[in-house]
Amino acid sequence: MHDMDCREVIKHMAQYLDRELSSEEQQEVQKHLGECGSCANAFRWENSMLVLVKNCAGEELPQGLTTRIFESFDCCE
Amino acid sequence: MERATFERELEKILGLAYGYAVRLHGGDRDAAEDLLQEASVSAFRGRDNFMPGTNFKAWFFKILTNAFYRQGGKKELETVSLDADPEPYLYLQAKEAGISASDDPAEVLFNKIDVVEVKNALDNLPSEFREVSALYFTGEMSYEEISETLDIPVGTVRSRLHRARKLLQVALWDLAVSRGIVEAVSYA
Repeated sequence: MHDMDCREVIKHMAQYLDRELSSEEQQEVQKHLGECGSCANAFRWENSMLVLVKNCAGEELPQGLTTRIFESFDCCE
Repeated sequence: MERATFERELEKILGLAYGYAVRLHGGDRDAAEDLLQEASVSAFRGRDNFMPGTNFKAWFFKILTNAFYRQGGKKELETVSLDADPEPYLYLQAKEAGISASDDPAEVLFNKIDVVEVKNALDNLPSEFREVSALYFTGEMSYEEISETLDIPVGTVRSRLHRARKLLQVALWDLAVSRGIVEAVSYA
C-alpha cells in the first residue's frame, strides 16, 4: 500500500464516488481526503454535481402505462 | 418464465426503464412510451431466453436499447475530444470565479439550477455519451451492468462516463453563468 498523491486521487475520484474501486484503493483515497482539504473540496463538488443530476434525471412513469403494457401481452400468448 | 413472474420482475424496473427511454429519446415522452411498449412486448415474447439467476434489469435494458436502434435511434461515432486527464472542472471553475472552497456547492450553485435545465443538459449529450449517462444517472446501474447492457468493456464505460460527466459539468457551468447564478454568488 502506498500513499496516493493529489493527481492520483483526482484520477480515482469518479470511481471512488461510484464505489467502483477495490477496498484497498478506496481506503487510500479516503486517507488522502482526510489529510488534504483541497482534494476533499474537489470531491465535495463532484459528489454534489452527481447528486443533482441523479435527482433530476429520472421521470415519473405515466399513469396507466404499466397496465397498458401488461394488457398488450394478451395478444402474444 | 410464467407471465405473472415476468410482469412482477418488469414492474420493479419499469420506472427506471421509462426514465432511460425518455433520456434516449432526448426528452420526447411520447416516443419513450412507444419504445417502452415495444421493448416490453419484445421481452415478453422472448422471456424464455432470460436465464434465471442472471440480471433481469440488464437483460431488459439491453432489449430496450436494441429496440431504440431498431426504431432508428442513431449510434454516433465518438467525435467529442476532451482531455484524457480527469479534472474537477466545476470545482476549478468555481474557485476561479471566487467562490469559497468551503461553501456548500449545492447551496451556492446546484440548488439554483432548474430540474428541466439539468434534464436538457443530459438530453443534449452526444448519443454515445447519452446512453451511458442515462444508464448511470437514470437506470441506477453499476459500470458492470452498463457494460453488460451495451456490450462494451467496463473500461469503455468508465471512459465514456468520464467524458459525459465533463460535458455535463461544462454545460452546467455555462448555464450557471448565463443565468447569472455564478455572478450573484461571486459578488455577494
